[in-house]
Amino acid sequence: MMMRLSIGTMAALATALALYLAWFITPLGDGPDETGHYSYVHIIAEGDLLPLMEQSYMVSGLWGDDHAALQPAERRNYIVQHPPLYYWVAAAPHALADALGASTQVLYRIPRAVSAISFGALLLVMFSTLRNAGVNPARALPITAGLAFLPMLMQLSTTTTNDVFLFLLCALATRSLVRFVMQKSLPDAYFCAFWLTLAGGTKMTGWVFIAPAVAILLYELRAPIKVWLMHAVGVTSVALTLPIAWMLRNWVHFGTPFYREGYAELSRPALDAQTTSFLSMVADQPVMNWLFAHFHGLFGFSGYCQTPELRHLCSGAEMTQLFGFARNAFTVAVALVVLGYVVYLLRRTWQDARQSPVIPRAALLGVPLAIGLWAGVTLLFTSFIDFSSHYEISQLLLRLDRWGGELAMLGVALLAGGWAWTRWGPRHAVPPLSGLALAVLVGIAAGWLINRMFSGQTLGDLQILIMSLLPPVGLLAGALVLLQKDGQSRLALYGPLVLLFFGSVLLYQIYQGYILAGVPRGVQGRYLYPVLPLVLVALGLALERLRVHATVCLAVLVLLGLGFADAFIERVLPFYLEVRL
Amino acid sequence: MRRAVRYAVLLAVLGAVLGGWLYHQHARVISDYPLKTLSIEPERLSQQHVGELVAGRSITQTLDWQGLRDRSLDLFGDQPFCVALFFANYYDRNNTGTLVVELELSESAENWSKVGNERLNVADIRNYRYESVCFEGITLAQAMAQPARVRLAALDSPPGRSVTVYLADYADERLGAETLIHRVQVRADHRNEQIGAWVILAAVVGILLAVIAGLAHASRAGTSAPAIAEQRFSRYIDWLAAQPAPTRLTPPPAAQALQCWVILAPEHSPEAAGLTAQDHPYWTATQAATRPDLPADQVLVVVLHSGVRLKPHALSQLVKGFMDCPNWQLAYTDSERLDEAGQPVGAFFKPDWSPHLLAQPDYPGGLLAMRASALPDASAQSASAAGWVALAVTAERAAIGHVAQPLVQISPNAVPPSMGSLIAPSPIPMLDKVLVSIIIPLRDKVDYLRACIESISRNTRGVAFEIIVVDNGSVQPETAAYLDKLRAQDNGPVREVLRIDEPFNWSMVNNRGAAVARGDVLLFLNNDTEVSRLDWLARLAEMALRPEVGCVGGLLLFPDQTIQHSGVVVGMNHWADHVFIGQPVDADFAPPANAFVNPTVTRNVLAVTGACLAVSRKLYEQLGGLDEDFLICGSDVAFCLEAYRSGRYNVLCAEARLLHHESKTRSREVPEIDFVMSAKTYEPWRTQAVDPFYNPNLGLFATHPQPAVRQKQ
Repeated sequence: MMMRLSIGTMAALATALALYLAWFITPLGDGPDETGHYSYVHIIAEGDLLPLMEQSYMVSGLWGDDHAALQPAERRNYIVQHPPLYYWVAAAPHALADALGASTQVLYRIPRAVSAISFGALLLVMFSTLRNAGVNPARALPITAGLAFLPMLMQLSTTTTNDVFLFLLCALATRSLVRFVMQKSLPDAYFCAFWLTLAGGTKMTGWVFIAPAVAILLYELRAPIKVWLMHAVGVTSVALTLPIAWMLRNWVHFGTPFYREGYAELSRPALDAQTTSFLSMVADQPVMNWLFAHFHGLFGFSGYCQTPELRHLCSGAEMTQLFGFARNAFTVAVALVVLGYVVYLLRRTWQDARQSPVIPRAALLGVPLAIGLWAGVTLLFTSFIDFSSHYEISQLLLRLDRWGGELAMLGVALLAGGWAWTRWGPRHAVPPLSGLALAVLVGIAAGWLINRMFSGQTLGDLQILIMSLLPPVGLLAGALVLLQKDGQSRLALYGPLVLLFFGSVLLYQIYQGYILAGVPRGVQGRYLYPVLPLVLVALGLALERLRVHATVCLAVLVLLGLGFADAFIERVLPFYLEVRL
Repeated sequence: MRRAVRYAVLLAVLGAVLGGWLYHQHARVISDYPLKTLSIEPERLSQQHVGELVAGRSITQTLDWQGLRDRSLDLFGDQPFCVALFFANYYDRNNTGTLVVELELSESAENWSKVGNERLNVADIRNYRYESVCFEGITLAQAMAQPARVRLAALDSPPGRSVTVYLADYADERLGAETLIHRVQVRADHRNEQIGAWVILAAVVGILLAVIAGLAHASRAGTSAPAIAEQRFSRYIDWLAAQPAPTRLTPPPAAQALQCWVILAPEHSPEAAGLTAQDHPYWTATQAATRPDLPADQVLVVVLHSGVRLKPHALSQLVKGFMDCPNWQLAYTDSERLDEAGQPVGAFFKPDWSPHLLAQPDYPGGLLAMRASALPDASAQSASAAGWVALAVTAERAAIGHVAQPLVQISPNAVPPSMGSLIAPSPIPMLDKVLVSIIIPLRDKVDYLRACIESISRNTRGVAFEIIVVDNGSVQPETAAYLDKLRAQDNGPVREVLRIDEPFNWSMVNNRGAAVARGDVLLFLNNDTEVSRLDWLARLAEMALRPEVGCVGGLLLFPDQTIQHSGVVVGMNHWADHVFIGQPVDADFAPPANAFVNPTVTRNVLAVTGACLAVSRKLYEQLGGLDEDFLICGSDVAFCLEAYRSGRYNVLCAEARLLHHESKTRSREVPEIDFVMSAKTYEPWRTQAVDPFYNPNLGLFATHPQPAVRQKQ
């Protein structure tokens, strides 16, 4: 009862804060693309339930300013590229308020309430998800509350955007997935598929969660082949209904399933892909730092001062990241949680390697060794490029890479793994295993040490280190997941694997955008929200298995809370005041 | 209540400390929100400080109005004019003194008039930060109407205890040489954001307090202990697939090994019994009861029923059990059911030794093992299932082992062996001179009591009884009227009606009833129950009077004929719960539909509900009655656990079948103290060990028994 009261109070306070900020503080138009999102809601509320991109326009003279009523034809609403589910939901209160004669100032803010309420519901669902996974409430509660202290999530919850609603749907899907994996009850598999299809009906980025989630469902669906086939088809059909329907619509109208505004224009690349490698982008552009920083908080993005109606009222910087204590507190908190997970993963590897039969043990031996070396070498390599750029050494030699360097290193690592296997054999897996763990750590630490010489931020190196851990951690988790016989252990491993999948897709998209536009595009940490519930389940279970005391979780939460307060009071509110004349 | 107040005060103090600290951290910034900077600072080429601002030192800076943002005058012309200067306070040392900042306006190049005069306390100035001064009564428009300058002067700071300001070279040629680093500001109305900042701080404190309160509760209630996570399986084969591959044990040298003397049924063969596939090599199969020529302490007698097949590692696991537990004299195992195709379809996960489990098929089972040294003689009668049972009846609890693994397979057409009818732990007591005291507490809802008493009067045979009604604070007139009527009945079933006007405490109310009871057996019964079988009380009483028996409970059904109580499993759902609750009583409880015992047969349990709990007066007094430190729930379970700890078996007596009106969905408010007391008294079975009358292979987080895998934390 008391626990329910606690989680309820926490969620209610977070929702109330989001509603308050939405109504009184966050400037209108300051959410990411809020003008477009609001216009989409407005159009639906007016009765056009499925507006077509290229025929849909921004509402002119928005946000109470009548100085610059642009011609509609000048500003097509590119946000209409998103599926309409969230906008239908947000349009309902908008239409109701409009029918009751609400002022425009109220109408502008009404759709924001959907985000704020979704945020509160998300916290409740996340707590329930962790509990269903077997995480003790003493750990589930601080982990859930940590979400309330994410400045970017709070900011999005105060604006008209589909991101928080999508996050909620993905959390609901994760909850059903967890229940299915834990209890093998088929209705939960179908519930999961149902939430997934709603996520696909909200935003096409939901695909990067839908695909792995369906794969997990099918993998977990253990049954005789006929039964398996029947339910596999059933679950997949349910999960894909809305996203496929949306893609078909795009295909019918625009000839391509993933149509986006400006598609044709961006297809003329600004950079030469032959000479601009992925690694050079990572070395030359602050992509990794931005991903981390923007996940934490990017304010003013495409917002108030990038809205034509209001731009003339602005001065100074148009967007800001969060710096200082807020960023450092967040970095340290994330680092501590990731450290916990890595410890769990190494322990799991150790235990599984000692108990596994020959072939999985060989895989365990070779794969992490290869991955560890690959990660370490890649990091060293990028650091070296950074080093060479810094000292203006010719980069010719160092950019022979493309992917050849990594592939060569991967081959060498596999050979080393194979040699280690033949040398020590199945009964002596432990020494090479500890060796490879050491190799992972030494490789990454070496890259980190070199990198830190050039990092301009406090704890910027730690952020890079955290992100560099994802490839080895994700792939190792992927190798281990095949060896687990119980669902809970698999749940503790799916998260990083799916995050790695999503991260790779996102980085590839950023690289594509870089080639097309000449600058990194879409470097938004909020894109990771769909997979975050599954990642939190994995982290929660790792902390559970390590028996991390609740006091430690609370200490990390307090750190996040202080960082959150610092972010809004020392950075965000002054930014709002500073930027607006 | 007192605890709740203490809690609230603690949280309030914690909130005040946290809020105060946050206020201290951010108050300055929030108070600066109204200061709107209008000047655009050009790029600094270099900067240097002017030296310590000690008494008598002054600096003057002309203000450049061209460096303001567009439309500043339009938007902020009527706001109070402010200026911010860039200070240094080395090492944030403690300084002293006062600085004065004056605003001077010029009507001509030589004629400056002082229009504003504000003071700064040197002790408040922070290192490398702007400090703002606003001139009350001077608006931006007034200041901009003519050339203006600010003059900074130190009034009384001594050397070594003051601060300094910075000068800079700028890239803007118009500003030229060294200029005091400063900003032109106005004080705008930003109360909204200031209030917003306090709201944010309050929300952060509130969220942290909510979490702290939750964690404190979790810690007190014991839920901060690692949860026993489990994965349940609706199908036995899924559970089987999730089991680790059996470890092949290396057999010890023959001289140290236990030799298995396997006695097969006449129609059985070693091949059919799976003996030839055993990884334990030391076995001898026989159909005659001739003991091998070996020392008795090296021989394990294994009796196999027909239709039973051993899994390949069955004997090795059995031997391992006996080797690991030298106390074991007898043992049995869980079993697996095969279908016609020979595939496993279900299992019977058995409880630990349950001498009162009378009617369950396949219990103790198709494989019974005993040390040869425990046999009274070498006769065929001893080395048989009947001999095993004869030993079990008199053996110590710890001498009867249970290997909780399905080590044997039962073919579909095999008749499940049941030795229950052979088990008679003690003679059935005679009831002709026994009096049972039925103690019924109530608070109003008299219709339930009326139905309860009438059903007892109408449907009880075979044993004498008296009813004691304990009225705990009833207020309704119809209750009083009915109780008066009961008191007035000289030959009625109710001997006494007690009135207790104290706050409700289930244990206290029942203890008071027990204090006036005269019976040899006490039956604590809820007022919302009804009986229908004539022998219900006799069955409860004769079980309660057996010397080896502790507490006895009845099989309670909801009015819709679903099970309300068929025994309590301690540790279920973190605390203790009713196994099989909500299942239709006539459901199929045979394997593979059910992996545990049939809930409608009498069996041993670790605890029974206090809604219908019978105990001999002797044992009740020996245990000191019900623990009144509990308020509402838990003392019944704690009482049963005490009885079990005293060496007795608690029994679910399925013949005593009662109706219980308790709502299936009712949400009961459980006081905090009951959680604390339960956490204290339910161990080790709540978190450290599994209820011996359940099975470690069954899930603890669902009341319907399902095969499960527990996570090793």
